[in-house]
Amino acid sequence: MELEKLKAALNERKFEGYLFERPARQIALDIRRRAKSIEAKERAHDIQTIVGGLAMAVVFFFWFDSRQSFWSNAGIALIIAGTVLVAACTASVYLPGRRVRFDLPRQEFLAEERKRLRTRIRVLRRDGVWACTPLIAGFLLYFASYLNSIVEYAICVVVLAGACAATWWSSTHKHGKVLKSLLNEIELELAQLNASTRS
Amino acid sequence: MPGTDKQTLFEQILEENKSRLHMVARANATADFCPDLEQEILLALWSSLDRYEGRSSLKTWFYRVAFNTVSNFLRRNHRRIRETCLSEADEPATCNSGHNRDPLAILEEFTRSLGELDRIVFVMYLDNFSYSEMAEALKADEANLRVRMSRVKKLYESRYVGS
Repeated sequence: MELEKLKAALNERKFEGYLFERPARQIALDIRRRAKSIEAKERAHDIQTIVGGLAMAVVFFFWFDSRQSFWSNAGIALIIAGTVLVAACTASVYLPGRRVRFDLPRQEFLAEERKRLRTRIRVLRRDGVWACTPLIAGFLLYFASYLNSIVEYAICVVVLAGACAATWWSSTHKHGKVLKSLLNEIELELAQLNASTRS
Repeated sequence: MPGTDKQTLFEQILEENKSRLHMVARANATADFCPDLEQEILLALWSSLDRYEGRSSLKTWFYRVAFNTVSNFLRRNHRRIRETCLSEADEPATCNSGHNRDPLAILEEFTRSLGELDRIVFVMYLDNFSYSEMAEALKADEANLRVRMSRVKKLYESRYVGS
């Protein structure tokens, strides 16, 4: 089939599917409802992150006790700092990055997407190092002051190290790998687009 | 858009662009993924509508939103779509020459072999966009788009014309 014939056939063709079977008003109403429900879910997730982080910090705050050793209280302070940092890091990625500007010209859109992905990768790394370190150090200090033998302490270290390794693997390796491959695709597409704009 | 009810404007856009929307979806995803992609484009159109200021035509704006959504959709569902394409490629082709085939099937098959930018240009060409309109929508060089389209045309002809 010649290209012009294909063009004419596609332009004249009656398509099938829900878009053509349902009135535009009904589809518009459904989309409006779906958009609202997505927005509500996102808002709930944001609130959950922030309030959850703060609530955890408050719970840990009640662990403070003047009768406890200095090291226990120092551990709690570190746990609180870590919790707040994790919540802040998560919120700093998701809150500003919610609104995707689909209406931007392609190059600007891809540049925005690249920026968003770079921020997420950076925060994942930062989360892993700067936020999780005080959290883990805090737990170690806190529990160490209650443990009586070196064996108990060793078990505690092993459990925490396992938890750290799992967190590190899921955030840095798994997510980092997925996000990095997305970033590479965007970089490639942007390079192609830039080349076609320059020539 | 100031002074216009968002829902009414959306209905109008939808009514005018139903076929266009379906074509974009079919050119960029297999039939299995088509409804999902259409829904995503509709959602993106809805959420972007507040920022439409009427500086470009609705058709150009529609394509910008649609292709940016497609780009995100394909990146997110890359693996799933590739698996579907591979399983479809295992099925025997019913007819290779383009003469009596469903135009949508040709569109789907041909666009699958194109790169993303070539695919966009091809779909816009099928929708009677002029090169200057394409250049405006994509913020790309018009001459480059002509060269690109001429390459795509040659590729199309070598596959579907005169076989």
